[in-house]
Formats: sequence, C-alpha cells, structure tokens
Amino acid sequence: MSWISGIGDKRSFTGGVILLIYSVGLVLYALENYQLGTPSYMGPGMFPALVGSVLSLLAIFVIFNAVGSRGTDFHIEWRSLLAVLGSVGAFALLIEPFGLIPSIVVMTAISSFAAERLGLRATALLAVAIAVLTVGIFHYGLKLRFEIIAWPF
Amino acid sequence: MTDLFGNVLLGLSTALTLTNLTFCLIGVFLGTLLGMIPGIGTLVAVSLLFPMTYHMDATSALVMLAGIYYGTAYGGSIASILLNLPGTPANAVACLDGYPMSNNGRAGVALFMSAAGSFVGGSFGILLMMLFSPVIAENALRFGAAEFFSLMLMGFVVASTMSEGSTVKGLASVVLGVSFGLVGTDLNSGIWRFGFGVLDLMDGISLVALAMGLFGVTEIVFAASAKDSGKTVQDVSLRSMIPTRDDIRRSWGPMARGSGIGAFFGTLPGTGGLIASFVAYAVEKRVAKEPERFGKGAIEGVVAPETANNAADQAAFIPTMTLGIPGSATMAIMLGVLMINGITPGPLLIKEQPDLFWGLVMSFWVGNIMLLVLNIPLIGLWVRILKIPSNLLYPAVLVFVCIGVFSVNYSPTDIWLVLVFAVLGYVLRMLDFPVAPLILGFVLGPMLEENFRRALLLSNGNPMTFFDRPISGTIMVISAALLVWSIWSALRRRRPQQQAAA
Repeated sequence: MSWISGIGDKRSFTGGVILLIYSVGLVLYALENYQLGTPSYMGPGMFPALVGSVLSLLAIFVIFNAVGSRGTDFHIEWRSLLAVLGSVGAFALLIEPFGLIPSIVVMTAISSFAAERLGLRATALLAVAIAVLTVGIFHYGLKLRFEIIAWPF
Repeated sequence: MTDLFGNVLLGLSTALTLTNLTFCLIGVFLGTLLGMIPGIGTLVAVSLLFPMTYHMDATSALVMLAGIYYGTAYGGSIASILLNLPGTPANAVACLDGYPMSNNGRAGVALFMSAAGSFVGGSFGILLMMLFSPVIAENALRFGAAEFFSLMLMGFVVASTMSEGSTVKGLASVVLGVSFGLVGTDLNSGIWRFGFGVLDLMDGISLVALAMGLFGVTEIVFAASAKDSGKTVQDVSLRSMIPTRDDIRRSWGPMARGSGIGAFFGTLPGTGGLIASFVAYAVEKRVAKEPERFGKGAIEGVVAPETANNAADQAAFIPTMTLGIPGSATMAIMLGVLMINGITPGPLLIKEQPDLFWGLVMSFWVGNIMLLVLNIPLIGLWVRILKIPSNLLYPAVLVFVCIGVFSVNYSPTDIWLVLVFAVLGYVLRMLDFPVAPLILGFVLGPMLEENFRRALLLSNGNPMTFFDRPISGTIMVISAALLVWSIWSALRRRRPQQQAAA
C-alpha cells in the first residue's frame, strides 16, 4: 500500500472515500427502486438521487483536498470504546427478556471498564445505587411501564 | 405597546403555572449539573434529557429543555472557574481569567459575577426576542416555498463555514444528515423509502436515537478515556461571593458589550455561544486600559464571555421560532421536540399559538431568575458534586441514556440505532469530520425536500425560481458568496504552508 504514503491527510482521504461509496450507493439504490418523475411532478426517487449526487461531489472534493494537505494521526482508545459500546449493546439485548434491574447491573459492570478501574466492591455499590435511583425515578416517579425484573425461561 | 404588555401577561400566565415552574426548575438544576461534567456540553445534555420530554406537553417540554440549555452554560462556567476545565466549549474562555481568580482566592466573586453576567446577557437576548420576533414573523409570512428552501440552504452554508475544520467537510456532514432524513414514508407518494424491511424505520430514524448516539454516547467514550485531572476543588463560602465595589464598577462595560456581541452572534445561524464568548473576550482586552491584567484574574475577562454566551444562547431562539430554521444543532433538537408534539415553528406560530410562544419567552426569564437564585445558595452543593470522581458518573449517565431512549417506544431497535450512530459519530470524529452540522441536515432534510418539490411544482419545474424571486435570489447570492469566500480563504491559508513545507 505504498501509494497511500503519498497522501498527506489520511483521515480526510479515508472519510472522503467512505462518503463516495455511500453516496454512489445511495444514487444507484434510489434510481433502481423509486421513480424519478419530472421536475414539476417529482417522484420519490428524485430528491434522494440529487442528495446522493451532491454528496458524491463533496466527497470527491474532500478526497482531492486530502491528497495535497497534511494531516495528523489518531489513535483509538479501544478499552473505553468497547466498554461503552458493549454496555449499550448489552442493554439492548437484555432489557426485553430480563427487565430493568439485571440490565442495569450488567451495563454498570461493563461500562465501569471505560474509565480508570473501580474495584469490584465499588462497582457493585455503584450498580445498586444506579438501580435504586432509576427504578425510583422511572418506575415510581414517572410511572413508565418497565418490566423491573423478568425471567424468560 | 399595549400589544406587548398583553403578550407579556399572557406569557406570564403560562410560565407561572405550577407545572411549568417545576419543569423549569428541574431543567435548570439538571442543566447546571450536566454542564459541570467536563465533556458533557449543551448539545449532549439536551440530547440526554430529550426522551423525558416525550412524556410531557409541548410547552412544558420546551420550558424544561430551555432550562437545561442555559443551565449547562452556567454549570460549565463553574467547572471553568474552579477546575480550569471548561464544562462546555463555550466556557473555555472563562478559564483564562476565572481560574487565576480562583487561585487568588476570589473564586466566589468570579462565580457570582459570572451568574450576574449570565442573567444580564440572557435578559438582553429575551428582550430582543420579544421586540423583534413578531416583526420577523410578520415579514416571513410572505415567504413561499422557494424562500424557505434558500433560507435552509443558507443555514447549511453558514453552519458549515463556521464549524471547526474545513467547509467542504462541514457541508458533507450536513448532506449526510439530509440523507439520513430520507428514511421513512415519502409524504407525496406514500412510498416507504430506505426502510430495508425494518418496520421500526417506517416513521424515519428516531431523532432521539440519532442525537443520543452521535453526541451522548460518543462524547462519553472520549470523556472516559481522558485522564482524571486529579485537581483539588476549593470550598467556596457564600460570604466570599460578595463582590467589591471595584468589581461591580469594572463589570458594567463588559456586561453591556458582551450582551450586544452575544446577541449578534446568536441570531446568525451556525455560530452561537462559542464564537460570541471568544469575540467578547478579545474585545474586552482591546478596550481595556490595562490589558496586561488579562489572564491574571481580571474580572472583565470572566464577565464578558459569560454574558456573551448567554445572550447568544437566548438570541438563537429568534430564527428558530420565527422562521422555523434552527441556527445550531441544539436548536435543531428543540425544533424536533416541537415537531414531535405536532407543532411546526415558523411565521404562523406566534399568531396561532401565542400562549406557547409568549409562555416560552416568559419562562426563559423565569428560568434565568431561577438560575441566579438557585446557583448562589447552592454553590456548596455544586462544589461537592465537582469532587465526585468521573468514573462513577459515566456508567450512571449511560444507564440514563439507554432507559431514556427505550422509554420513548419501548423498542430495543432504538437502542441498536443508538449503537449504530455512536459508532458513526466515533468514526466521523476519528476521520476529522464535524458532527454537529449532521443533525442540522437531518432535522431540516424533510422540510428541505418538501419546499424544494413545492417550489418546483409552482414554477412548472423551472429551477430558476430560486433565483428569479427577489428575496430567494438575494439569499442564494449571499450563500454562494459565503461559500466562495470560505473556500477561497481556505486555499489561501494552505498555499503558504505548502511553500514552507517544500
């Protein structure tokens, strides 16, 4: 991949390429599936096709710009990223079958890895505190119809 | 004049109901609380608490969100002054002189004067809103589809030129947002577009999930990975907050100039509190008799930017409410709240729902008074909250995000959408694209399409309609000029750099 080293701003370049693929896909999908119509009586496909075309032009601009300019590198904080995203995913999976309290406990446990580590005891106390607080606010306070605890089996 | 008086009374009768007062108080309190947490700015706070408003009526929802909106601005200044960590970007300038004041043992005075400045700035913005909104709305009644289309385009261009980074990337972010707005049922033909068989996407992508993923969750990833500063927070007593005669004498000028600067930038689309606070600080330094005092704890350097960012926050409501065109991502969320409740902001709003409009304006005032009353006696509580380690806060905020989003439709799909947009938000930021313009495009996208189609229907498909009509044509020329200017100045800035590199 030596040609990439000639590009100054790799972050913008990558972004431009992703946008270009997305926008071309958008135009093709709109043309394939929806009617264009005429300018005075537009069909459902006209505006999406136009939006996709404008976006692809912008993406080409971004790509050209990126080749000539200099950029900075980045690094990804994998631990924080995965802990936060993982805890949200866990909530999506658990909330319906198991209810509120188990979801909160699992979420707190996973997301506690995001920042500097808490001890096991502190995490457990935090989970209890958050669970009490949220059940109090959302179930008893706002009277939302959450399943507090459930067992699917 | 009697008109205005009647409107004020009407507004007060809405704002002073017990329900709205309570929501205003809750909003201001939560806003201050979230604003203090570094990494959680206005946009994040408003998106975090947005789901709660689904369970309220439109006026109360907006009153609470507005309370959160200016509560965060104030909470942010507490963190700036006491910790040297801006709670929100718009408070960054307040660190320059606020933290030195705190080191000189004058944190109390800085906090008091920043609250007073916020109140003055906010009040000035509200006054402008009361005086000019009816006039602007009256004139905007003559706008047709073509005018609204070009106004929205101008909003996009200004938001992209003003956001950090390159204009082209800002525009790309806006258009990406517009493309997300396409999902859902097409109003003209009834055809379900870009649904990919997911039934929950029939009504379009949920604004809550989008805002929460792009701002809430992504921001937490960044904030959690930052190292805890480990700074100690000093205690602030009520007595130490009393300003000296000299402090008050020095603050009148900055408050007046800050109000004007803030209101000006607030009404421009795409700018807002951040730019206003920087300009206000620069102006104070320029007009000061002893500019060398700045950066070492000059009271003017705290008062001016804090006044300006509150004035800007208030003034930003003017275009949102009178034209239905939000100038910033936060305002776009406010607009979203109204539309979810079946209210379309625009020139007709003031005429058709005067109780909502004037109630909102008056509750801004009530909220600003509450901010003042709440924050001065509660300062001890805020200081104690600042001492909570941040790794205890993030899991709690995440749980609230998920429960909030889930409570809107009781559908796990919305949580998965949060996850998708969190990943997108992270990728965009890693690739150096601004994220805030995206939400502007998303909210305005459907309106943009509707007005585009209607304008062309009326002109028999002739696209010159956007340029032939005088008002629309003028707006188009201004937008084009702005675009050319910003691209040209970016190119000019790049050239010397390249020569230096060669």
